[in-house]
Amino acid sequence: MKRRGTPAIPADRMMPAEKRLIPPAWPGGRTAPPNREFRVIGKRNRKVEGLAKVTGRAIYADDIALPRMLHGKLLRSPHAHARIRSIDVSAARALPGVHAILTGRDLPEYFGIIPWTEDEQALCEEKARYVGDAVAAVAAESELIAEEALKRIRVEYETVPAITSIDEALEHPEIKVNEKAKEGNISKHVHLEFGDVEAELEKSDATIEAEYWYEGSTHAPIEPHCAIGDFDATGFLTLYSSTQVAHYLHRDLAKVLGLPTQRIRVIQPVVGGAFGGKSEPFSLEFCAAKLSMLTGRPVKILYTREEVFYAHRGRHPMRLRYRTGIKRDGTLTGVDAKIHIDGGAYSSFGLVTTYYSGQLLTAPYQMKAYRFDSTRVFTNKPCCGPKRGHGSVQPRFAFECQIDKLADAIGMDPIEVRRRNFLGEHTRTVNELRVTSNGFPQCLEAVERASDWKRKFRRMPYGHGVGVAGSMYISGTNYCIYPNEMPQSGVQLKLDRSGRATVFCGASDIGQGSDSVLAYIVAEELGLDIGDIRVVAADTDLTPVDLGSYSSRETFMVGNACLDAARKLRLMVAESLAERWGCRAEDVTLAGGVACSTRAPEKECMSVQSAFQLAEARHGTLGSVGWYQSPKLGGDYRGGTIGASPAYSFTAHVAEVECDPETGRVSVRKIWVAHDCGRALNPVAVEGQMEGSAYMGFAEAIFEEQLFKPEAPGHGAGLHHGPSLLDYRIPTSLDTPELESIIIESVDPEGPYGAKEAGEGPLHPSIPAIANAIYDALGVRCDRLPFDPPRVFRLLRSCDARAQWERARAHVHEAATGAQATAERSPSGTRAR
Amino acid sequence: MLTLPSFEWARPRTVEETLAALSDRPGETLVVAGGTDAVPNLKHRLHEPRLVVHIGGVRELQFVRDAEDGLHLGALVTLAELARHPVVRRDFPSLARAAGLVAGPQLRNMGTLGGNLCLDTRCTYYNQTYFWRSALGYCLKKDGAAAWRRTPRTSRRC
Ligand SMILES: Cc1cc2nc3c(=O)[nH]c(=O)nc-3n(C[C@H](O)[C@H](O)[C@H](O)COP(=O)(O)OP(=O)(O)OC[C@H]3O[C@@H](n4cnc5c(N)ncnc54)[C@H](O)[C@@H]3O)c2cc1C
Repeated sequence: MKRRGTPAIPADRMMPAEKRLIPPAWPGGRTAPPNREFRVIGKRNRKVEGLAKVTGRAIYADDIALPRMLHGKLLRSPHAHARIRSIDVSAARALPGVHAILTGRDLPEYFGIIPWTEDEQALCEEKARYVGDAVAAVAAESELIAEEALKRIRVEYETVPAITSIDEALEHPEIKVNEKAKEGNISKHVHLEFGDVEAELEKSDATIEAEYWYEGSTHAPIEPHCAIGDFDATGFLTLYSSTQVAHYLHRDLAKVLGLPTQRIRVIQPVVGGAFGGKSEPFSLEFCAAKLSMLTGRPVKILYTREEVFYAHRGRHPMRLRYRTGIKRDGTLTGVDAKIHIDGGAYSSFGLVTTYYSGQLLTAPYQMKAYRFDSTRVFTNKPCCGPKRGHGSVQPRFAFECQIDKLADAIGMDPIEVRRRNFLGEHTRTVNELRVTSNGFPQCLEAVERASDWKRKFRRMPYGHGVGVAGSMYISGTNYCIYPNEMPQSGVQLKLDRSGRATVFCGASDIGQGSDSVLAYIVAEELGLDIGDIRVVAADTDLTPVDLGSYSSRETFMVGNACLDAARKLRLMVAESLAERWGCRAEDVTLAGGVACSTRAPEKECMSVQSAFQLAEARHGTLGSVGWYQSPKLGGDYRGGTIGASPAYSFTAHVAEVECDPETGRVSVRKIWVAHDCGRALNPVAVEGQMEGSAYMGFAEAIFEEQLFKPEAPGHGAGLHHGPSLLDYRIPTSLDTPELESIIIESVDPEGPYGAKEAGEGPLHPSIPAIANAIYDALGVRCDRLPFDPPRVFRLLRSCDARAQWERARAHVHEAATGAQATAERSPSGTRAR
Repeated sequence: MLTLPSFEWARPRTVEETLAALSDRPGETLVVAGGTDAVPNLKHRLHEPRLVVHIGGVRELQFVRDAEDGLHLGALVTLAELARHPVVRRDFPSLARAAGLVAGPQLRNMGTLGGNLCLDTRCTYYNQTYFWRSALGYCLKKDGAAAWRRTPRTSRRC
């Protein structure tokens, strides 16, 4: 087993190559409709769980109240960095109504989502590493009693200087935030180089070097984390949790609690948003379970909004330095990146984040040579992790601004530059990622046309501007987080004489619509009404494993697994009918509740329910299983599989802004979003994801900042600035710009019906498109997030913005009138050759 | 969830009953009207009263009276009522407009004029949870000795 980098499967557990799972090939491929045309897929259908949510019927974790249930609360460290000398719980235990108390010693086993970096304990045993790190847990008759008990727990702390920035972490390796770090405060370092970057940069007519700062942000899902542990008399644990990765939680519960996995059931109730913030196990899940084991009663723990801020796992702050070159004809040359990542106190997905910060930049543009050097450090702040667009939103912001600057330097329209560097379809990137379908040029063209770009870019009055940006994202990762060769997604399908179908799948619907995707596919294949299908999901007792809702994998992988199961069952039904009618199975149509032959549809026809009964009589009880396993992909180097995905989505945005040059206030008027999702299984759901993504990117660009207080008399550094939705501002519907979504369908050869992801990709270009639009409007380059009035105002004051603005216009107009493009000294300190 | 502390609860129907309830335990009583400010503050343990007097049912305080000597507004007039009242809109448009700009519709439906004037929202150091304030080392305004203000350079006194 390799210790770092590419997760490898232990040799004794590998299947011989010839026996490995290969997804079945269906006649006509995965992209074709089962009948001549689509009846459900591609139609503007409702989401299956929507009505239950809007009518208040959906059951979220906190809606569950079990008989004799106790309430748990966690005691959290008020210090950012402190050794725990002793904990005295006697006074708390003496309080009437208190049933059990846990400290770090009760749950000493380390866990972590990535098997190579297990560095967390459910409760800190020796040291607290951020303000809010959990140190003890109480179960009591009520939340109020549990809170009172927390106040009576005496913890003796010995404070240690807190490390709260990237530079401090690097400068003070002797103050170790996380003892599991092999070297100083380095969480992960990756250096990869593809091609000769310096030689390529030499060939440039202009190079731009600049530093960017991406501020951290948090997910802020509406539903705070909640878990209920229920350990019964037979030694069986049921855990309900608002998680997006029931399967990984299942494994880590077994590890930390010392229970066999076959004695644990994890149930994910309806989840009220997650965005990556619920994609790994948290203290509350282990504590609720353990407290239930100790008391023999169900225990619920519900985080407060403040605790959600401490649980965090949000967007990593990143400092990014890029050096990029371009030729006069618009060809990009070399790309050199140096990235520092502020990880907070623990690893989380950090190993992957560090790779993603470099690996996911290599499309949709062709790069001749590319190098990145990324370092993630530990700091005494809540742990960062995966937030929608994990690891690649920050570098994408920096790089798309770089392209804008390069375009400016050679006097070329930035859309044209992007077009000229298009990577192509069915090709490989410089870091050996396999790219199949690619609708990026269509995305660019769509936003160019819809936004009336040519009439606006460099042509609007001062204060008004448009900006463009592009991006790509994965449709699931090719490999499971822990090495194994089993399917990434499994589906069981039950069909019976009632005419109703039930889909069982481990997939985790967190609002994005995976339950709906399952229902649409079954409805399409079996000719059923969507309402005749029940989806049972994310319950480890009832459903086959799916790895969960992360890296935009559900539609692609679950969809393929479901297609597999549904087509197997469809074949059984079609064969039974073909036998009856004496036709071929291919000539049988199941659609709109009716089964018929294409030969004589008037005569040879019956309800699908009768068809199922015929099939049940012919084959016995009806059921099928389907699964998906992605092909082996990735570059032949350490880490080369990280970033490999069976398909990539592509996006382009144009943002239009109106800025007040007096105050620096930026109002985003509209964002046009074009996204290549392969095929939209339900266009409304895809548009919802596109709008939600663009909104979230806009929020990070203009509003959000995860800030911490510096040291002051009375407290150390590292206290969250304001862990509430009053102090941490997210935009409301009133603040949100108009969003226009344009779906581009490239029909991916391997996606279910050709579908790819749509949940994360469309976030990326929002931020750089807005930054580039501000340049078009004001002549200043916003290289640091967020673009709030104080920052923009300072930028306006720091240079002759107006002159830069005029120069940028002159450049493009010269180029447009056929004048020789000149690459002179470009604005904001960037260098041009 | 953030819990409310335990307290006793009085629901007077008249001003007279209200005054009686208030004089019952001087210094240990909190008036609550719409509760949009008082309830979060209770949850933050900024107030730990023995008795909460909920005045929402006191009809006498719910009036808008246009008189010779000016406009008389009861303490329980909600911000939503203020924002849409025809006389307020005609004679004091800036007041109506200001009331209509506070927070969102739900809070304007619950929030009262009296509560707005007697608000206990102060700053980001004060209006925080008990845990957060303990991590700060508390503040002069509640439980602590030092006073904080927003400007970091001169952070100690406000
Ligand atoms: C999200 C949000 C945004 C807001 N934005 C603004 C804004 O932009 N501008 C603005 O001005 N305000 C703003 N507010 C404050 C809002 O106006 C008040 O919360 C509301 O008016 C309080 O009224 P209430 O009836 O709910 O008061 P309560 O919460 O019931 O009471 C508030 C305080 O006043 C005292 N009190 C209430 N009534 C009386 C009375 N009749 N006699 C004596 N004492 C009394 C209470 O003891 C308590 O201390 C905002 C509040 C929120 C929550």
